[in-house]
Amino acid sequence: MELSFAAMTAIETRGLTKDYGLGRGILDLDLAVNEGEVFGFLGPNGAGKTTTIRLLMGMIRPSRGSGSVFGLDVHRQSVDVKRIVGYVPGELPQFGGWRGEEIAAYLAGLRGSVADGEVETVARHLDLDLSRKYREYSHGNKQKLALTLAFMHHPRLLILDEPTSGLDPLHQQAFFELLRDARARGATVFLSSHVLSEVEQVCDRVGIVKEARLITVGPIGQLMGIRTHLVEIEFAGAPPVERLRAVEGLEQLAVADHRISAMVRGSFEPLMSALAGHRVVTFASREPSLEEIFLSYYR
Amino acid sequence: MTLLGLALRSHLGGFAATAFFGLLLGLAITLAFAQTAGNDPASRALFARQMEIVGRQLSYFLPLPAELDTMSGFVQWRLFGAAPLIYAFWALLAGSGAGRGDEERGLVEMWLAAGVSRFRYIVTRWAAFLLVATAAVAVLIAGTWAGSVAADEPIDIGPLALQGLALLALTAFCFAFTAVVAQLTTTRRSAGGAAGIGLMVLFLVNSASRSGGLEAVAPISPFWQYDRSTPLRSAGTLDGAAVGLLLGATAVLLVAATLAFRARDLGASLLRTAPRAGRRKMRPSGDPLLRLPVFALLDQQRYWILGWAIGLAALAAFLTTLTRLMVDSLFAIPTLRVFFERLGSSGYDSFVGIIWGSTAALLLSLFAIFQVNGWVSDDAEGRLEAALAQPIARTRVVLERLASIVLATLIIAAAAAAAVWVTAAIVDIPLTADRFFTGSALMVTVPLAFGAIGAVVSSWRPRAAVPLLTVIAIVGYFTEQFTPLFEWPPWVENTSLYALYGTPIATGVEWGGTLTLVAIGIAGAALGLVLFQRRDVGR
Repeated sequence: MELSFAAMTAIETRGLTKDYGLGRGILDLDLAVNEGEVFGFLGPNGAGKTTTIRLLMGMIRPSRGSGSVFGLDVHRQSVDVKRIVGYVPGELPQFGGWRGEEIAAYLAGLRGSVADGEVETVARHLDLDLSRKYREYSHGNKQKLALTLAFMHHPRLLILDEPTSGLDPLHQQAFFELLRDARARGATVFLSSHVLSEVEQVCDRVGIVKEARLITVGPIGQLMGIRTHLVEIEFAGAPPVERLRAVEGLEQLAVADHRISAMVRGSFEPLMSALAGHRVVTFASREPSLEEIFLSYYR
Repeated sequence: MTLLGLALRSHLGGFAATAFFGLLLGLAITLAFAQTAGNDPASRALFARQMEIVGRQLSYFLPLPAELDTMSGFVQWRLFGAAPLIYAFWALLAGSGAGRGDEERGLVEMWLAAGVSRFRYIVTRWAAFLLVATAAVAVLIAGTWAGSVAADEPIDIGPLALQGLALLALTAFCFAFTAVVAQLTTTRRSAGGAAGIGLMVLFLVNSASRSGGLEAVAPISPFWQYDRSTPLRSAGTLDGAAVGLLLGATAVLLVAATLAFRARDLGASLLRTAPRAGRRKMRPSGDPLLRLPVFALLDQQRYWILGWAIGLAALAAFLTTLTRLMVDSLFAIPTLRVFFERLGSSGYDSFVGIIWGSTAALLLSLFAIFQVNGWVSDDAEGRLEAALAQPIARTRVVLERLASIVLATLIIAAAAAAAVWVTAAIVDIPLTADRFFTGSALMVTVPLAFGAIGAVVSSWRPRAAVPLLTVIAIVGYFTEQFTPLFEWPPWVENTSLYALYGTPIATGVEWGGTLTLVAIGIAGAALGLVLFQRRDVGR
């Protein structure tokens, strides 16, 4: 599912694996994220999202396989990779009694060539007071600091692990504005999230991981519109439950009196054949939300 | 799991380590006595004289020795003189953990949200420590008794139990003291630091009283009250009043800590500060040191380093002022004079060199161990990941850490050396300038070696780093102290990093040992680099 406007590959993994045993970690990940796109990485806790992100950041070594960011090997050339990446970790660090301004100065110092004005611009946009001690920050303010540090150097690639965690709706919008600005500058974004509405809102494509494996990748529109439909059917008499259960592609069948609801994956033809000879009073079909698609992979 | 069960489990690591050390100490000291003291009265008398030499040297650290020709007397001095340091240190860690650590990790909030009252929560935490402390002391007593039985010179269990009661009272006091301090601070680190300084001062007050100083105020020290009990000596007994005072003070402190905990906000100090005024800031700090390699690490812990510099300088001045008193009393005994002359000490100046040099090297290595502990925490708490998210090589992280240890210990050693130099001039002890300053500067080779070993172990098995370095420090220190006494071969002594440093202030630099320390530093750094490149970062 390559996008037509793709200029070059921002992230590429080939058989990338970190195997913690018992199905934990990420296994045989083949993924390509194109430059300029916003890619959403979805999955429940423990599915392998953070492991993937930490592999891309060179924090952990792959068990096998490889990954690259703009052609740079994420392990062997991790310093060069980080020069062009802005990163928000999934679990925020603990800086104790440091003040926000000291953390920003220290990490900007490590990065080098970050103007104080750039930090100020992002902090002001997120309404973050850097004079306070880190331990006095709420979770949301800690997240804002992490975002400030990720955006302060105008990175070519943003790798964001649950970036809106702890942000109130107002500051979520401020974050989306930052994301739009970054994208307008040509930045690529790779973000993991549980908040499907935000993925629907900002992402071009999504990948869904389940039990350490990537199970699907595609443009948001394609995932939402083509593959599955929710149907609700009201029958004049008793629904032909047994026939319906045998229909290929019909999932999550629920029966209540004369009504049934189900998800149809793929073609409607087997369902229509099964309905032949039964009086249907109403038949409603709609495209499921991304949330419903996401959940369908985990039921 | 019940609240008490969880509270007990939170002390599991500390209990296991303390009980292990206690058991080991109990067995080792009793068996070592049987092995080395001899069986006939003449051998015992000779052993007692030799150990008295060591004891007098260590009087700032251990009680004054007596009856060292008997198993009970030796155990009273050697084992129950040193055990309070181990148990007090554990109490300090446990008190700061119970008073602040749980709060930092959000556990207190979780329990209170689950409907547990503040009173029940905190009293359960206190009770859990008192239970595990009792068990840890019991392990020490059992180990000591078993060791004495194995050595065929059993100590009566009654006096041992009484001594255990005194040790438990002291441990409980240290815990309660730390618990109160924790209510006045906002972090575990500051609670541990402030309570540690307080307990150190109380310990030194007692140490000074052994040489005739500060006798008027010595009773305020819980360590002085603990020293009153000597039930293992022939005419000794448990000082009921002193132990009762310790237990009473513990109860008062715990009540105070409980009331303070109930009165204050979670995460806040009991001492309320005025609401913060001033303007909001959106720009990074203008502190230039924060942007410089190595100096950034020093800048982040400036108060910690300053505290060490002041503390070590104060200790250095204190030991130097005691020098004349100690040397005069030691050299009055002919056998001690011979021993010190064999060590190279012929007067006040070389005594300063030996005592101060070995103490400073020990404490600076302790500083290095704290630094390594900080590296492990950086990893576990995500700060290392935040740093490595910037475009810096892992090599730089390892080298900066070691460089910061060298620079920090240089600052601390310089402050302490200045204090020794000035105090020595005041008490009229002339020091040889070149030896003194060269020896003081070379002290950094000891923490460098500890840091390098720490770099290796923390890159390999982070959790093992601090325990391993602690064992290296303790074993190395006593190996250096005991080698001249028991005339062990040089290779045994050279396993100690402190022996490699030698006594440069008293007898001149031993370049072989010094270069070995530097070589350990370089080799450790190199191996640490390799391992750190290969390891996964994070929790």
